[in-house]
Amino acid sequence: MISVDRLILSPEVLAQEVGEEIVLLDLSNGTYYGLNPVGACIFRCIKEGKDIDEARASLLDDFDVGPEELERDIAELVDELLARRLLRVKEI
Amino acid sequence: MRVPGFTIEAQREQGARTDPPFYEWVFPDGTRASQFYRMPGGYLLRFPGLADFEVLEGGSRISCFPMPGVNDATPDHLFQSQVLPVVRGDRGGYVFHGGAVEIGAYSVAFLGQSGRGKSTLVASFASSGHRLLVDDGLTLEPCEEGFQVAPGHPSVRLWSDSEKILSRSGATRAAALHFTTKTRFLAGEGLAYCDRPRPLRAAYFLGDGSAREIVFRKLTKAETLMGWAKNSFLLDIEDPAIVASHFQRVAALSDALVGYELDYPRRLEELGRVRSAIVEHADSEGARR
Repeated sequence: MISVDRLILSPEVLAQEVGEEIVLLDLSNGTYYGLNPVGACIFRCIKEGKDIDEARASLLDDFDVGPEELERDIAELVDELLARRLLRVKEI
Repeated sequence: MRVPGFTIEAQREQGARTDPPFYEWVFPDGTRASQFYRMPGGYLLRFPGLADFEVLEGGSRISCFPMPGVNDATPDHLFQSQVLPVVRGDRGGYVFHGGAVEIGAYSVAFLGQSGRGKSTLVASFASSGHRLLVDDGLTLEPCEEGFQVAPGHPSVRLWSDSEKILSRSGATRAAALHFTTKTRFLAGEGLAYCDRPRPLRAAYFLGDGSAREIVFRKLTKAETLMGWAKNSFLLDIEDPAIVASHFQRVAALSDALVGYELDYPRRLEELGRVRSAIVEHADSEGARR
């Protein structure tokens, strides 16, 4: 999996917080993508450019989830957001 | 919000366009309902075979050029039900593909794309004592209680399979419109109309009719936001500033109001039961507040 601290939001994407959730709008094709509270928290870590260890610690603190399940959730979400071009990999 | 100046000009043919429209509305059967083009100083909204509307000066000047042979009622109805909502949406309004009715001192709204049964539901309420607020082009305004529904055009348009709802109640039929085979009924006897804004208690996003029973599902805030956004009237969906501002407005709406998905079997004989369930549901929503 690509490290979350290498990910950035695509420039055509708007993110809007609603309660504990987030909705992403891709301006390039007008599609919407909703994130539940766990997904929203992962997304915030990515958006704020948190260090991967700091991000994991923050998520483990905030949700009733084990480290392995959290790794799986992060990997699935990142894969999906990359596939939908909502996230990009930062060039080094 | 200021209603833009609107004039109906001399009839003219619709000239061929070489540029593709930047946006189109298409009916469920694939027919093009309208095409949106850019033009110097504004936009051209084309309703094929019916009329062109030039929207200029940020929407403060709108001119209609009907096609030869189009009747008098069509330009005004296209303006009220299609053009004005998108202009208001771009200018910071809350305008949606939805209808609303009054229930007691408040209102409920039904949203969904064409063919989902909004007008049938609205007509069913309006023929049984709950006054019509708006059939389409649902317009919301912030108010003390959150948001209120502004009264819209005092008429309802129904497909032939639903028009018996209002035929039975004795509602008056209006002159036919060229752009639709729907029958238009005017407010009056058999179709009660509310001409005052009413606070909005609940928004129901209509499902596809596949449910075998009446089903209410509370939407998450994110789902509610997407529901409002997908059912919005906006003119320039390619302008990032307009879209971003609209995105923020519907987020505020989703924070203030709970949205529900509502589905039920689409049979006219079930409508009485559907109405009762909605009234009961909306009442309990009020009690939860």
